[in-house]
Order: sequence, then structure tokens, then C-alpha cells
Amino acid sequence: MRLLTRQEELVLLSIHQLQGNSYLIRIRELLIESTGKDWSISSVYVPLDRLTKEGYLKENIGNPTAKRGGKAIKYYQLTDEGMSALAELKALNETMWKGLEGLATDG
Amino acid sequence: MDKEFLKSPKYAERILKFFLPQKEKEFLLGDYNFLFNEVSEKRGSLFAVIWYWMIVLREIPGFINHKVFWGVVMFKSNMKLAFRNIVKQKLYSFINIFGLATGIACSLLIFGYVQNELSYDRFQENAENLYIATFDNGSTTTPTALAGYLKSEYPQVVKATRWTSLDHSLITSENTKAFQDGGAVVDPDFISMFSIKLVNGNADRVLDKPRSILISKSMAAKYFGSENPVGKTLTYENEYKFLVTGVFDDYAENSHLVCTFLISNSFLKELGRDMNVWEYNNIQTYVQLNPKASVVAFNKEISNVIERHRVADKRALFIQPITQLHLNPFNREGGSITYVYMFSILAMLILVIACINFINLTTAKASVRSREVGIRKTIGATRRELISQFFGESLSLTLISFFLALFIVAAILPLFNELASKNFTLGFIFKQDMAYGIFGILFFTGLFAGSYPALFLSRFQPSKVLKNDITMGKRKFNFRHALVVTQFIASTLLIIFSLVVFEQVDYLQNHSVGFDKENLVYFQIGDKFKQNYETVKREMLTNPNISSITLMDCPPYQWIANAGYGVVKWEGQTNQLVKMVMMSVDDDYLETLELKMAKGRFFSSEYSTDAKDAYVINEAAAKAMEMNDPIGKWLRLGGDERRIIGVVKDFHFESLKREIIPAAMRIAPDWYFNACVKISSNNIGATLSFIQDKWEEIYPDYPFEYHFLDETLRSRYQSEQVTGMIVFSFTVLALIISCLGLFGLSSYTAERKTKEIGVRKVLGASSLSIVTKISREFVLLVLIANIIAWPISYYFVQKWLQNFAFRAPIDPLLFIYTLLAAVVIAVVTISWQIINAARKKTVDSLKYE
Repeated sequence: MRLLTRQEELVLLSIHQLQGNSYLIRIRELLIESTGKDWSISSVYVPLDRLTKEGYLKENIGNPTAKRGGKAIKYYQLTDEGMSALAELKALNETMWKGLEGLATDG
Repeated sequence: MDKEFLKSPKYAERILKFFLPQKEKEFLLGDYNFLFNEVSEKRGSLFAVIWYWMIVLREIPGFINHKVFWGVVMFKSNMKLAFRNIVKQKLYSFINIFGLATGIACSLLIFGYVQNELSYDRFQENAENLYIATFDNGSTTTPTALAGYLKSEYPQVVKATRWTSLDHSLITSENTKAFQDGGAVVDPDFISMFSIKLVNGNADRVLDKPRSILISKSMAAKYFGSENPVGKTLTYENEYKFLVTGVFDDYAENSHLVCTFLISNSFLKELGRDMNVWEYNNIQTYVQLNPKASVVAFNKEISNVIERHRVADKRALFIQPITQLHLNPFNREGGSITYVYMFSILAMLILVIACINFINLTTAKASVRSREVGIRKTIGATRRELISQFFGESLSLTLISFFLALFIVAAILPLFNELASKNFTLGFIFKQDMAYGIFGILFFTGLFAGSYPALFLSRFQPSKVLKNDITMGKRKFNFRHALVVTQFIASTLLIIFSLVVFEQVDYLQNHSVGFDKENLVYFQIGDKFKQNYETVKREMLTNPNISSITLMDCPPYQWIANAGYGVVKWEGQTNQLVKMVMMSVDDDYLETLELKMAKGRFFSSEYSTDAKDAYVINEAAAKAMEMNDPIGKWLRLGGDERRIIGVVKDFHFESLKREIIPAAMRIAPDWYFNACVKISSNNIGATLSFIQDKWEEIYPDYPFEYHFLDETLRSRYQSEQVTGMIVFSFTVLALIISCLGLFGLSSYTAERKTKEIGVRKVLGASSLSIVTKISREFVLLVLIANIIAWPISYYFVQKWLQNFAFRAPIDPLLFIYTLLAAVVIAVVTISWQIINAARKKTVDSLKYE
């Protein structure tokens, strides 16, 4: 399995957190909230698309709304592979962070 | 409460849309629109619009990156597929690649040739402002006074120079003695006008001093080796010593001018030529106009310059750009532009034929590929993706073909150089100005060849294809047939054209010229030869193999176009104007060339008056002057009035491309520049060395150089012969490629009809009847192609033949032969495959599929 990038990892985690209500704009909002950085739409879309193509995510098409200019919406959902990728990442993180469990940010 | 939602700004959205991934446009645009509404709720709609624009511009690079990334992935996979397909279908790939490679190789060569032809004289810094003075009949031979007059009287003329060629001059240095071609006598302005790059020496002054000479680098190497030539002496024609004042870079080959050395016009003056006269034309005049000056206005001003100084001459003078001299000169001989067009069309034809092969074979294989398309589509490939896959295939084939084409070019370059008398190296393909062309050729080939398969195959509907329910090739006459017909039209055109060219060349070379051109040897002579002529002649005639000798100004076929038109007046003239060529010959001309008299008598030493008061005219002249009985009438040509004593039967003294023009002959020893000897066909070598001995008695310092008249005559049609050879090679190539295509197509047909053949055989059909049945289809196509090609080729052939005053008749049988040849070639090509199929064991055929 390919080692996922940090961006992709964060995107996967946000989708998991959003529990089914995960579409691009919500994912972006969550990412902005939790990282405090500005995420452009393309910077969210690119990992989403790649993860979908590689089978970590699957898409559901929702109904168009007026607020979206009459355009449909796409929801993303973790697949089993996506989940196991997250599990692997977690294991990897724990190995790599060994000895730093008590580390905390100031304030 | 119903809330009104806004649509995002139209133009920004349109720009954004362009960069978004194909399948995601809808959703992403929706996302953007959603955010737009959010922002406009919070900060107002004006802010939102600005925000939208900002965000669009900021985000586009991200999407471009994305597109490129996946594009490369797709491209890699398409390439992989393409190569797999190439390897899988070896026969078809071979036909395709070989055909395309030949097509591309031809195009490359022709493109290089065309590029080279078009570049003539363009390299000069002043190319756009340089002109040559020309008469409205195409002649560029002008009075010596013209250049100076134009420069001093017309402010538009910045510089002017006269030009006289010194071809074949005997030049001697301390240790080398040799003939040198391509010299010229010019005015000092020439150097700056024609971008002569001096290696050493002062550009302004190098030609000012009398008896100074400029030589090219390669001429310097020839005469002085590695020594510095400046300050050294060269002797011209064993007599005149010149001081080398400068060396210039070799003049580019792609110019209408050849110059290896330059001498100032003051030398001609020294030789006694009056360099400031209007009375006769004997020099070329070039002018450089101010870039701002209007050529049209200038032409109007100078149109009657000659008439003002020489009342009788009504010809208008104008200037033509030197850049058109090579391609499209204003005269009757014509430049190379016809050939540029012709060869470009030929290259295109070959390339199109090769592309058609690709299209045909790919679509023929469609039933196999259609299943692939069906499966791809089912898995989720879009039509667009399939199109790019097929283009990928054609482009990669083109690329492979290109590399093969380079080998082909390398292999045939020497042959091509010899044919087209060029000096191309393989490096010329990689020159910068060729790059666009090569890219264009490849791109065109790839796109054109890939277009139909890509659009056609990608259209299949998976449900139908996978059920094997495709309705291809059921129509009687389909697109593929049309393409085969197109190929054969092109091939037929080429066959007919090359046959006609050969026939015409043959006609030109063997047409009766009105005199006996065999065994005539001619050579240039000088004053010393003329002074000793009586003795030389007597001695020569003692040799039994020499039957006669004559002196003349110029042997037939060496006539320079438009030379010697004088003002013509004659007894009984009403008001017609006649152009007439004057020839200076001696008593023996008639006998040596074996001309026939129509009326009167030829010059003879028995009549003392002949030397001063006798003209012999040709029939064309008599006809032009409307003289029924010309004998005894007076005729004045260029101020020389004499009586007509005879009319000689018309003979061709110029190329057969031209009509026989009126001519008058006179005795004028001052104008004899050539001697012509009639020898017998026995022991030619001994006779020639006998003549050479006589020559060396008179000119111990000059090498003896001679020509045979019939060879000169043949060389006059060299360009036609070259055309014939080139068209013929193209024809062969076109035929090979077409046949390869036909071969592939028939092998496919045989394969597809395997079962049909089996069934037919079971029901009692013989192998022969099956072969006949299947080949009938192809023969029909060839027939149709021929019938369509006939009128087209007739039109082009007629057009080409119009270049010649004397043309070979077009033989209707030629068309029939072409048809037969095409049918035979087609049948031979296809029968191989079909006979194989027909002879297969019936059981195997029926088990097939």
C-alpha cells in the first residue's frame, strides 16, 4: 500500500469524523477549523479525487439545491480499504511517536 | 420564507469550468456556488463577486496540476496499450509503420527541398530592397548606361551596380593554373548591396583601384593554399594581372548569383568596352531601393527610360525583386515555383496514401477492436478517453515511423542529392527552421491517420458490440472502399503523369531538330584562333575523319534566352513589328550542321559581296515579315542593313520548349566565339586528340575543352528528366504503399470470409470461382479509381505540357495501359491472400470462429 500523504490522511480523518455528512465544503470547513490554515477547494479536491480513484473512498450523488446554483452534490464515504488504511496509519503513527506520548503543546 | 439564491458570476464560472476535471464539473461548480452564497449572505453580493473571482484565479493552478498529473498517467497507459497492439498485430503494424515511414521520409525530403528553394536570396540583408532591371519581354540584359543613370536621376535608388558574368575564366597564380567558374565584373556598390562579407580588407575601397580582385575563401584556398592571398597577384586569361585586395566568405549557394571572384567594371573599360552607352544591351543592372520608396510608382517613372534614350525601342522597363528570380522570374523559361508546388503536392499525396492505409487497416480490424471498446466502455471508459487512446496509438505509430523515416532519409539522401542537384546532409533535417515543419508533418500524420479510427471505433455501443451485433461492412460501398478508391486515384494520377513526363522527355530528345546534331564537337575560340583560321582549317580538313569546320557566335542550344533582339526594318514593311535573333556564322555553317535551304542560296566565298551585304533568314523570319519572295530584299537588323540572299529551312537553335523564332544569319568575323567541327563516328578519340594538337599549336597555355552538341542538347532537358525521375520514384513509392494497404485489407477480407469460403466449398464452389468472386470487389474499386483519375490526370498533364512549344501527343492507349497495370498489380497483391484462404481445408474453414 502506498504511504498516504499528510493531506490525504487529514482528509480521510475528516470524512470519518463527519459521519456520512461529508461533502467537499463540510470537509474543507472542518479542515480549516481544526488546522487553522486556509484550505483552497482544489487543495481539498485533489486528495479526495486521488483517494477515490485508489479505492479508499466511495461517492454518493445527492440532490441539486438552489444554493448550489442547481448543481448536484457529492458525498464521500470511507470504504473498508479506507478504514484499513487509517488503521495502518494509526499503527505507523504510534510506532513513530513512541517515547513522546507525554509531549504537549504550550498553553 | 423562500430565500432567493444567487448564481455565481457567469464569466468567472465559465473560466473555472474550463479548468475543472471533466467528470467533476457539476459537483465542484455546485460547491463554489454554495460558498458564493454563504459569502454573499455574510458580506453582501458585491464582495461575494470579487471573492469569487479571486478564488477562481487562485485555484486554477491547483486544478491544472491535477489535470497534468492524471494526464501523464493516462498517457503512459495509452502508450503501453499502443505498443502492445503494435506487437500483437505484426503484419498490420509493419504495413502501417513502413507506409507511414516512407510517407514521412518523402515529406521530409520534399520539405527540405521546398524550404531550400524558398530560401533563395532571402539571406541577404537587403533582400527586400534589391531589384533587377527587366524588360517587359523578360530580358534582363540592359544598356551599360542604365545603372549610373538610375542612381543619379532617381532619389529612390540608393545603390546600383552592373553585373557581367565571367564564367569559365583561366586564372593563374604562382603555383596553380586552372579554370575558375562564377566570376563577375561589378561596380563597387555591389559589395554592400549583396552582403559580401569580407574577411580582411576595407569594405569601401577594395574595388576602387583598377586591376583589383576580390576572391572567395575557397578560391583563395585553391590558388594560394594556406597563405594569405591579400597583396598577391592573379593572372586572368594569361594576360591581365590582378592584385588580390580582399577575401570574402563563400557566397551562399541558395542565391541566383554565383560569385567566386569579383572584378571592378573599370576592367571592362580597359578592355575597350564603352561602359556608358544606351545603344545596345549587354549587361545586368541591379538597384537597391530606399525601403520607403514605392516600387509601383518607381516602375511607372522608369517604364520609358530606354525609349527616351533609344527611340526605336518601345519595350517598357521595370524592376523585379531579386527574391523572385529563382522561383518565379519574369521570363518565358519559368522558375522552380512549379516544381515547388508539384513536389509539395506529390509529398502530400504519398503521406495521404500512407495515412489511408492506417485508417483502412484499423477500421478493418474494427470487429476485433470493437470488443475491446465494448469492455472498456462497460468498465467505465468515456468516449473521450477512448478517442485519446486511439490517437495515442496513431501518434506513437507515427513516432516510430518517424525514426524509421530518418533511416530511410539517410539512405536515399545521396540519390536525392544527385537527382535534385542539391547538397543536403542529414543535418538539414535538424535545422531550426525545419523543426516546425517536421512537427507539423508528424502532427498532421498522427491526427489524420488516427482521426477516423478514433471517432469511428469509440462510437460503438457496448451492449451491441458485446452481443456481436455490429452493422459494419454490410453496406455495398462503405467508407473503406472510398478510401481505397482515393488511394488508387492518387496512384493512377502518378503513373499517368510519370509516363507522360517520360514520353515528353523522349520526344524532346529525339524530335527532329532540323539539322544533324550527331558527331558535332564545339569549343570556344579567341582572336588568335581566328587569325590562324585559314591554316588551321586546311590542316584539320586533311584528317579524313573531319568533314567540315565552321565558326559562329554561338552553337545551337547554347543560345542565351532573349539575346540579340535588335530593331528590325525591311523592304516593304507596313507597320508590323518583328523580333528577330541575329546569328553570326560563316560559309561552312550550312554544310557542317547539314541544314537545308528553302529558297535562294547560302553564303559562299565565291561571292565577294556576301561578307558585307548578305543575310540568310529562316522560314519563321520570312513568315513573320510576310515576305513571299524575300530574295534580294533589304533587311536592317540593329543598324546592319544587308540584302537577303536565301531562306534556310527552320531548325531548332533553341530548346524545344520554345517555338522557332525568326532569325537572320550574317557573316561577321568579329562575332565568332565558337568553332564547330563535324567529325565521323569512327575513331572519335583519335580525332579529338588531333583537334587538341592543333589547338595546342595555337594556344600552348590554354587547356582544350570541347563539348558534343548532342550532349548539350540532352542536358537542356535535364530539369524535365529530373522531374520525370522524381515523379517516377514517387509513383513507385505510392504504388508500394497502396499495394501494402490492399494486401492488408485483402488478408483481412480473406480472414473474415473464412467461414463463407468453407460453406461455398462444401456446396461445390471451386477455388478459382471463390478467388474470382472476392477479387472482383477489389478490381471494381481499381476500375472506379482509374475512371475518376483519367480526367483529373488529363487536366494536369495538359497543363504541364503547356510549358513546351513542342509536345508529345497524349496517347489514349496510355490510359488503358495504366488501367491494366493497376488492375494487374492489384490482383497480384490480393490473390496471394485469397488463394491461400480458398485452398485451406474446408473443415478448418468451417471450424473457424
